[in-house]
Amino acid sequence: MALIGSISSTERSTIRSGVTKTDVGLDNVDNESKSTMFASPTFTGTVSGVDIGHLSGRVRTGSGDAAQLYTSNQYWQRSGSAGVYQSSGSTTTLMRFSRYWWGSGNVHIEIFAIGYGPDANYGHFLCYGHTRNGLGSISTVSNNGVPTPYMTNYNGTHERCDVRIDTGAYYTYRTLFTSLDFQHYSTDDIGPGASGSNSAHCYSTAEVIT
Amino acid sequence: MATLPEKLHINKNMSATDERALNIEELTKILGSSEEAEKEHDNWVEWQIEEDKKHKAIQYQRDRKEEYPSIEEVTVALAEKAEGNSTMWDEVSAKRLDIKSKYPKTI
Repeated sequence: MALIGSISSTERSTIRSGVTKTDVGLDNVDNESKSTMFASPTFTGTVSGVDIGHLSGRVRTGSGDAAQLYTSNQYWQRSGSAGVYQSSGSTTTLMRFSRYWWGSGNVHIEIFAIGYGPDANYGHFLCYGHTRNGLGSISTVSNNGVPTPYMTNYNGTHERCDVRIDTGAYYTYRTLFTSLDFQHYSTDDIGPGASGSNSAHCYSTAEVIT
Repeated sequence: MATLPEKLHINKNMSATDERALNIEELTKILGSSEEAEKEHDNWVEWQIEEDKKHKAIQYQRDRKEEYPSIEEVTVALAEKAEGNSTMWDEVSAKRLDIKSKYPKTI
């Protein structure tokens, strides 16, 4: 038993030499520097208070040659959460698109044929132009056999339109959307007078973090 | 509230007043202040109208490019023709002529 001063005593207590931490019920406590005390920690709850600014190494927010994690919502990449598939062949709306007259940014759409049949066709398309007074534009960057998306369903009130694709029966496609300087909104009510200009909503997609 | 002269009113789905207000809002994002946006508005819009004209003038080139036979097709057709079979070359040429006729030059 360690001999220390009484709990109620105001006098300075002295621990007799030879008393161990086990003797005083501190077996799980290490005597270490604050700067190193959390080496390889295992947290059992939810950690809060840590954001990108606390990270270094390959993930950083500053300039330099290390890989960066883009935190701007002006850059995004989204993947279709399900394949575009119609058993009898049909039209699917991939995205709603609104680009201001002197707007910034554009959206790349990549379409991968994944079934059925022996082909693995692929197409890469660029959505650009503006929706001030009509549909924007889509150009083909490359395409070896997938259906070409097109713009339609112009809405002049909110200066936006839809990007659609017509697919044949049984073919299945996966989609990938990449954008710089465009805002993605979780609803399709985009464009001036709604969520905002230079914006898009990609239907049935999930964000891809690379 | 200021409105737009008719020649600068592009989106007929909204009023000229609303369109100008929207232009000012978007220009302010770029130029940094609403005062600067007000000052530059007409010049900026006139510039955009000119850019649209230039873009539209060569729309036929973009339309043709989307539908022309690929470089690979043309190359194979040329090779086959050099080897004595001009069937593919004739098809490629006919297709190009059809596309040119479908999207005539506008300038």
